[in-house]
Amino acid sequence: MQHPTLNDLIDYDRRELSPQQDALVYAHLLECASCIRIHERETRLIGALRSRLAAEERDLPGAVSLALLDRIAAPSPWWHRFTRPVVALPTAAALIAALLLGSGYLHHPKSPQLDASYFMQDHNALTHTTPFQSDAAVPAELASDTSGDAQP
Amino acid sequence: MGAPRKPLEPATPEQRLFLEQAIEEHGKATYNFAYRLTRNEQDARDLTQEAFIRVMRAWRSFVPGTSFVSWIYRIVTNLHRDELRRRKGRYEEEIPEDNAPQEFGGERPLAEEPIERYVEEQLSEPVARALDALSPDQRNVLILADIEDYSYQEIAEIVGCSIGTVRSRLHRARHQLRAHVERFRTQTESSIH
Ligand SMILES: [Zn+2]
Repeated sequence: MQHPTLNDLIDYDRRELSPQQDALVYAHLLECASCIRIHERETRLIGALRSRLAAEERDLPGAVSLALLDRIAAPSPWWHRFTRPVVALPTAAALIAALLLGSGYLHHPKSPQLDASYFMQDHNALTHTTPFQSDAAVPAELASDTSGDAQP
Repeated sequence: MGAPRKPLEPATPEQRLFLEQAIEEHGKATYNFAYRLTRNEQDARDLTQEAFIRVMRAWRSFVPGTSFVSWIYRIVTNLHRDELRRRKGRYEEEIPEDNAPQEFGGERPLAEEPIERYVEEQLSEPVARALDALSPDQRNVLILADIEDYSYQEIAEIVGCSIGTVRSRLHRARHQLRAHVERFRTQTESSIH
């Protein structure tokens, strides 16, 4: 047969020739010294490329995975802000202060508070009289108004 | 890459689980593929990150039983192409290549080429520089074929072109690689002597 072209040899290596062409190249490479040499040269070139790239191979940098997972993370709930040290320390201090103040406040005697019933009772005490009872206390204002009539 | 990051909708628990599993199983392969395409660590990081974000958004469209790696390589390829377009203003797509079935066989001069004299270790540095020197499209196809061992059909699906384009792009890539390696070897030798 005719010599296969270099492109045929590439396709042959990639197993991209038709079965008939593949068989022809195979048979030719068994007997043609110059084609064997060219084929070996091409094989060596690709072998060198493979070795080089295998040597360059590297792991995926951890930073890439982390950045990826960070980019798809749900935004933190609002309360997560308070777990950051910069925010957490002042917040904790403020909470403690508030608790101390709060506890003092809670134990302080309750301020006197007057409610409506107090005024009612007071009023009743002042004005409570039984007008037709002889020993009834006469409210001061009444006594002054009726001073003359009160004397028998 | 280097474009401002868009804020994302928070992931659902299912999306998060899918993403975590995808990173765990395919993060390394994706990152290395991105690095081989870009030949630059920072770009590879950005590309990988964006690709996984796309994966997470489209996770429901992934069909179990199909190749996840092919899917994410396609995403990486498209993102890389978009990024090149953004940087250059326009993407210089290669001239459509000969999609017609190629003639098989034929006479050709079989000149002995100097590469034959070198052992593999001597080719390591020139081959890396030669890979850098390829066009992004050629590099992509070369890597998918010769490193990742995809068929022309699979590469056509990943890259989004015809099988004929894959074939001729790989042929050109190999030719360029060979020529660059030879040039870099010659330069290295002349600088030593
Ligand atoms: Zn021959």
